[in-house]
Formats: sequence, C-alpha cells, structure tokens
Amino acid sequence: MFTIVGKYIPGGVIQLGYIENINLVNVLILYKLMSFCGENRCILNTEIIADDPIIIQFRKYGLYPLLLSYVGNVSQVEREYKHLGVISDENFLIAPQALLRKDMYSHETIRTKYLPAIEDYYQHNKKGGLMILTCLSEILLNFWEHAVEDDRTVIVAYGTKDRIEIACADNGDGILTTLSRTYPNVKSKKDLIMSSIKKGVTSKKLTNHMGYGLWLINEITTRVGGRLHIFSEGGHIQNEYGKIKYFDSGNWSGTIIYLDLPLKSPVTISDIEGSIIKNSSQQLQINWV
Amino acid sequence: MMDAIHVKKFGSVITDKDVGSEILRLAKEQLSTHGRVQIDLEGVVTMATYCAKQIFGTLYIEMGPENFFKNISIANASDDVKSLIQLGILNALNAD
Repeated sequence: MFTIVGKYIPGGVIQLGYIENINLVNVLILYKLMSFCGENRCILNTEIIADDPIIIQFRKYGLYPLLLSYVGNVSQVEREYKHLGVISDENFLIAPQALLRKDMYSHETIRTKYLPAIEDYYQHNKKGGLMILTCLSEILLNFWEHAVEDDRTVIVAYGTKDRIEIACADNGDGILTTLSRTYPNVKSKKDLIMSSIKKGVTSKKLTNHMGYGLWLINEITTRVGGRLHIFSEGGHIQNEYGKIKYFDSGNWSGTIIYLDLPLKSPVTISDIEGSIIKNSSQQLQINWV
Repeated sequence: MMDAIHVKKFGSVITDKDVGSEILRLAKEQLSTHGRVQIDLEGVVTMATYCAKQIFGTLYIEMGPENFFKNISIANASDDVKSLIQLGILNALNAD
C-alpha cells in the first residue's frame, strides 16, 4: 500500500472476507491500512469485502463506524472519530480514541475522559491502573511527538479486570527514520530498531526527551511477564514474557505498538528506578511537603 | 500571598507537552511575583517522563539546587510521581 501513494489504481478490492478470527492489533492495522489507502489516493473506488466475523470484531473494539465511514462516505470520517468513546461495564473496558495531533478535541478528550475512564475502571487495582496509565502516557507523548501530520491514528485499549491490551498504529516518522538522523553511525536496521528499547536512547537529544518511553514499557512488560510488539519500517521487536527477539518484517510506514499486560503483579516506575535514585551519587535537594 | 499550583486541574495523568509547558510557565510566574511557589500534586497519578524533565528538570537547572530547595515546595506527590520528578531532574543534570 505504501508504494502506491497517489497512483489511484483503479478497481482495487480489499478482501477481508476470508478472515475468520482477528485480534485487537490486527483490527487496528486493517483499519489503518484502509484509512491510509483512502486518504492517500492509493486505489480508485476501493471496494471492501467483509463478512460477519470481522465486522463483529470491528464492532467489539468500537471501530465499526469508522470502517463504515471509509466504505460509504469519506466526509463522515471526521464526525465518526468524535463519536469514538470508552465503553465499560463490570467485565471489560474498550477504549478507542482518535489522536488528531492538531486538534484540541483529541487532547481534551484524552485528558478529561479517556484516561480518567481507565483510571476509574481499575479502581479495584490501583497499582495495576497506575502501571497502565504510565505506559499509556509514554505511548501518547511519543505519538504526539512523532506524528508528522494528522494521520488519523487510533489508539485502542481492551481491558478486563485481569489484563489489558493496548494497540496504537501511526503512519508518522518511524523508528528507523528518526533514530538514523540522531545516530548516523549505526548502519544496521536491526541495531537501530533494537536500540529504541534501550534506556536513554532518543531521537531528540538536547530536549526534554529522556529516551525512557519504550525502555520503560519494555521493562514493565518483562517484569510482569507480558507481551510487547513494536513494528516499524521493516523491523519487529518482540518481547514475549521477557524473551526479547528481533525479526525483519513487512514494511510499515510508521510505527505500531502492541502491548498485553497481565495485572496480577503490577510494577511501576518506583519499583524499577527507586533503588537507582536512592543510590545515585547525586543527592538532589528537593523540598517535599 | 503565594498561590499553590494545583496540577490536578490539568488532569490526573500529565502526558501532554503543552500542559507541561503551561505548568512550567505558571511556576515561573509565581516565582517571579512571590519568589516562592508550591506545586501541589495531589490527585496526580503519573506523568510522562518528558513532562517531569520539562517542568522539574528545567527549574532545577535554571535555579540551582539551593534555590530550588528553598523556593519550590512539592506537595502531595505519590512515590511514583516522586520517582519521575527525581528521574527528570537527574536526566536534566546529566544531559550532554
């Protein structure tokens, strides 16, 4: 799809009819592919074929209206974005949210509705909720920073009392693009992409970026025995229950982050960094009251 | 009279650099007017590492340790938020 931008190839069909089952991250990828195709004039008169199983999954994750808006009337897309909302009951939480970088609506909604809804749902497990919010805050800030324009990113969280899955896919500047500018001497794609989960590695040195975001998320994933997958520009980092591997993958123009965390024994930043701070040779003078 | 900055009014999770920028601006305004400021973090659950460095790292570097201690009080910070603030300051101090 990324190689046919602007070509308006006639008669394209996106065939989703053979899919029998699909998980959260792949629903998001499919949605992003379709939206990318529509917005970047890849295919003229795109036809999307989808049967019940995939429609049920799009409904489950709250993205069905967005899918419809691409099939039927592209002008509705913006409106449908603003209809995305958090759905929660006793047993589950589904939280899709549009991230429109220049739109104050996105910032306000995340601040006043999205994050508080997640915090509320996990009141029974405050430390678990804190772990989730810590990861989300790093993912969101990274997104705002690396999205180059309003490329209609959606973040989706699907949670139960015991675990949470979070998926976010963008078509902004990917890890390879951003890190290669800062570390021009690192030539290997694998080394560059793997460095993104190292502490202190950032594409924006001499700024307030600390290079802690993906490192922290990866560290939390390892400690709780969760799963983290990061796809970007042909590279794939996989952390499955603490075992970290790298794979080459199909090209994705931008970055996809998928996180699956069990909430039984949550960890937070003070568990990870508390002893390092205490033992630091630099004694900070802070007036805590 | 010194007014405290109640960070919770910006949300229980501080994850937006514009919000961080506004909190920093308010803190500097208070320092400029009253010479002292209290930053109250009651109800703030967590913040992005970026915002911790943006707000507290910047103030610590600009004011120096003694003036930071003397003129800024940080109230009601949870253990996690304390860790983030300390990391933000340490990172600012150790920046290239």
